[in-house]
Amino acid sequence: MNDKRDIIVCEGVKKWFGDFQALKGITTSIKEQEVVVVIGPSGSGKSTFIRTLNRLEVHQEGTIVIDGVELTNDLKNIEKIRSEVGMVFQQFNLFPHLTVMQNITLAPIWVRKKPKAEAEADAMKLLDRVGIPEQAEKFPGQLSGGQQQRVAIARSLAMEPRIMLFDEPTSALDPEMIKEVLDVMKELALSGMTMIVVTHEMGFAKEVADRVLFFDYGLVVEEGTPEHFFTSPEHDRTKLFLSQIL
Amino acid sequence: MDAEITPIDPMLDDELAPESPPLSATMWMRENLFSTKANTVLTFVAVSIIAFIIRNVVAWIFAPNRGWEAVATNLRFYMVQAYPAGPEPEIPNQFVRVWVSAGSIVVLAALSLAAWKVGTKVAFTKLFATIRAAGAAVALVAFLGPPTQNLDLLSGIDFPVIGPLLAVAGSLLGFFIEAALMTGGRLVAFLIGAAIVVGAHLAAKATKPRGDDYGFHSLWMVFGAGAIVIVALWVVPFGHYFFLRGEVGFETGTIATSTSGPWTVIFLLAVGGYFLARWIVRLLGEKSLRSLLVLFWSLSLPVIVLFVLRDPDFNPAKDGGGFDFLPATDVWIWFIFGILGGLVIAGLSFPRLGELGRAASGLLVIGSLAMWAVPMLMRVRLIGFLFAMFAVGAQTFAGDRRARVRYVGLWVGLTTVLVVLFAAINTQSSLFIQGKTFLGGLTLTFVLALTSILLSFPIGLLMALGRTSSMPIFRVMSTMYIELVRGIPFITVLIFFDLILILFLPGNVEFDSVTLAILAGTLFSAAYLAENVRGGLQAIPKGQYEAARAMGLSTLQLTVFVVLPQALRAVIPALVGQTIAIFKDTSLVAIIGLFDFLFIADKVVPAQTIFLGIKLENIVFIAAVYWMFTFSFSRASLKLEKKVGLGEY
Ligand SMILES: Nc1ncnc2c1ncn2[C@@H]1O[C@H](COP(=O)(O)OP(=O)(O)O)[C@@H](O)[C@H]1O
Ligand SMILES: [Mg+2]
Repeated sequence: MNDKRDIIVCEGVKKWFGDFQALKGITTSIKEQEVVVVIGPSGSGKSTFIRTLNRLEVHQEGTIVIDGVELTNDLKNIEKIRSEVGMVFQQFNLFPHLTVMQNITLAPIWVRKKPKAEAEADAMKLLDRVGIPEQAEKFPGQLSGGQQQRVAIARSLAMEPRIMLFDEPTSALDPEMIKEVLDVMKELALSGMTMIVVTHEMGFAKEVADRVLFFDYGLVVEEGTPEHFFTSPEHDRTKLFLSQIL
Repeated sequence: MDAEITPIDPMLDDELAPESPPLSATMWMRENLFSTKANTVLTFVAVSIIAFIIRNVVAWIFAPNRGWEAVATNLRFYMVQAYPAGPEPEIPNQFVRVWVSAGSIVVLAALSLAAWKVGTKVAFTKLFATIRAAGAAVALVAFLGPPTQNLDLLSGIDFPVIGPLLAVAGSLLGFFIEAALMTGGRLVAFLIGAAIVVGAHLAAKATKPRGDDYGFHSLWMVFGAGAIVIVALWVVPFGHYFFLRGEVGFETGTIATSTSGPWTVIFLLAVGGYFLARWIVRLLGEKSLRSLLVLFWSLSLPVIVLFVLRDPDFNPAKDGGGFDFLPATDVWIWFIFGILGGLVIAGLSFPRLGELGRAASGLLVIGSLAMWAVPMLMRVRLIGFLFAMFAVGAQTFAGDRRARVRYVGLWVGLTTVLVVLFAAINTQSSLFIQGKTFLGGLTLTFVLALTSILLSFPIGLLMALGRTSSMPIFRVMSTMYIELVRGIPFITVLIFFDLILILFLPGNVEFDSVTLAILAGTLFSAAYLAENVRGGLQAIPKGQYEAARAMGLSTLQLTVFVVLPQALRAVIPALVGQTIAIFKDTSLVAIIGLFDFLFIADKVVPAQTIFLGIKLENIVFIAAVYWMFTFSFSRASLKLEKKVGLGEY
């Protein structure tokens, strides 16, 4: 791990919603091919943090550098970073008026300017990879939640991102569908994708994560390897949180 | 979660839901009409009221002194006003133009039915049930129909309280006795209705065992109805009157001489076209035919109005000969914007242009806005504005090479069409135009409604986007416009445009009344459309925007590919309502001196010497026509809604 270079570097990232401070100075860095799991109680700023990484939220203080490019208001930088950082949402956010195939090829065709035939061939490969090649011509509304989330993952991968952000990808799913999505994510992690995953699936964290960040009140309270985190946490808040959910 | 689960065939153990036994007629009535004493009374009261209304309406329609011939005589006037014939007898009539217009729309519709595979299977059982209901309605109307004698049995009685009650009872009784004693035409109609009921019932019984799968394609019904109408045109001796140059003309025999011939040709072309299109679809697939038809439909309105009906006079001989079909200015406009502009757009669409492209298209926008500040032809300003819009979109909507070629091609095609249309508008019509405009009657109503709707659509969209935009200047401008227009009655806008606008415009710009009405209608309905679309925009979840942004789509791309398609789908009902409202509101143009459908019924026909004062019949007639169109339109939109609803969650 140590020979890899840092691909995300955050320095004292702060974010306010009105008077309310959601991030109180996050400093961390993430290496290429690293899988980082972010956990913490609801409202602790996990979503806000990963959303600042592709500028869905604008941070007010501190710096975020992604792959050597600093995130500022410069439109060009934002576009470059967004096409390198994929994001998967809790609510899937597929486009209901487009077929699965159109959902996946939309950005490659219009952002990457890929020829349509090539984009469709690549989309088929991705659908194969997430295990639902037969659903290409269906509309999202005709799929199960697990299938929709896998389409959403394929849609992000179609932009060939170097980093993938997951914001509670399995929280809106029925229990029997969680596994099929986690399996896709594990495969992705094994293939060497840099991933930041906000999740409550502790099994996934133990098995796949290289590092765990514990958020509370807009701060990284504790971070470390999964073994350290789950067996010998140092902070009381971490212990309390773990005792509540394990 | 990982436990092995044996799959169970879900159909295996389910019991069938108990079939509800079919209700007999008496049981249905007992359950729905006579369930309690109070309901029984209510049912009787309601039935009496309905019977009373039907009787009076039927009596009114069939009264011997009704002036329906005022409508029949003026049918041509209603459809196209004085269009085809000039006021001078020696100017040849131009009927053929009207028939070509009507024919091309009907044929286009028939081709579209084939290309979009419209129609479902109709079961014979259902068809016969409908026919049975229609027969019953005929019999009922005949039964309740106009009284031949007045049997008020107990009307002379003069007791307090009980007297009026007895009178009512007596007249009800008389009503039924009289109805039972019907004679003549009523009896014939009643018997025909009854025969239809019996025949359809027997036919339904005979086909029932073959089930609901036994049926035919619903378009056969449309063709069948069309064929019946065509045959009727030839054989039923309607006689055909027409009103021309202040006199009533009369064509003897059937309606044939001026109407049935063209309609027959159109009908045959439509049916033939339908089957030809079906054959093409089977051979080549529906895709290319559909895009061709979309192109034809989008060109149909301007081509029919400007070229077929108005016939601009591009006569080379007038300007001393030479190849002068289009005025020289328009050729230059086309060359500069279409060809040179096309090259610029092709250059701007290069993906690697990046920041430079943005700056260049920004400059073009500023330039196009500056064109409004200096004296310049209006059409140049409009095309210039569109050009700037296309330049802005070039980076965004030109993808790979094929998409870029398509984009530039679209621009060149659009400029060509626009330049030709503008040239046509600016050229004298070859027709002898009587009064203010060559359009009138139902044709005018349709042209006004369709043009206003089509033109207001892009404006309304832009305004809705502006009102929800994060840019304060767009927001304020759109909001001000929308709130201003929505606070003013349409009549006021019309009069304003008719009287005042001319004062604000530079002297050389002139508008005829139709253009003014279209302008007013467009700007008026754009405000309402904008509000409808805004409703749709607000219904789109935030997650849609975030997902699109996270994928790297630009604001423009996100709006066009993600937001608008969903917003428009959500507001189809509101849009249809708006369209219907515009269609009806066009009747207000009479106040700026246009001969629209309503004006003819209200003012023109009742003023003709032979039909002096016959107004109600005319109003009823046009009400029926308005209703027919709006009703079928809202029905069609219901189907459309279901169809595009497929992709919804
Ligand atoms: N758009 C917003 N406006 C105002 N407050 C917000 C907004 N988004 C998040 N917050 C607040 O910021 C805090 C952190 O939110 P979030 O990052 O979503 O937490 P988590 O994902 O850890 O549950 C919460 O208290 C939430 O109420
Ligand atoms: Mg969250």
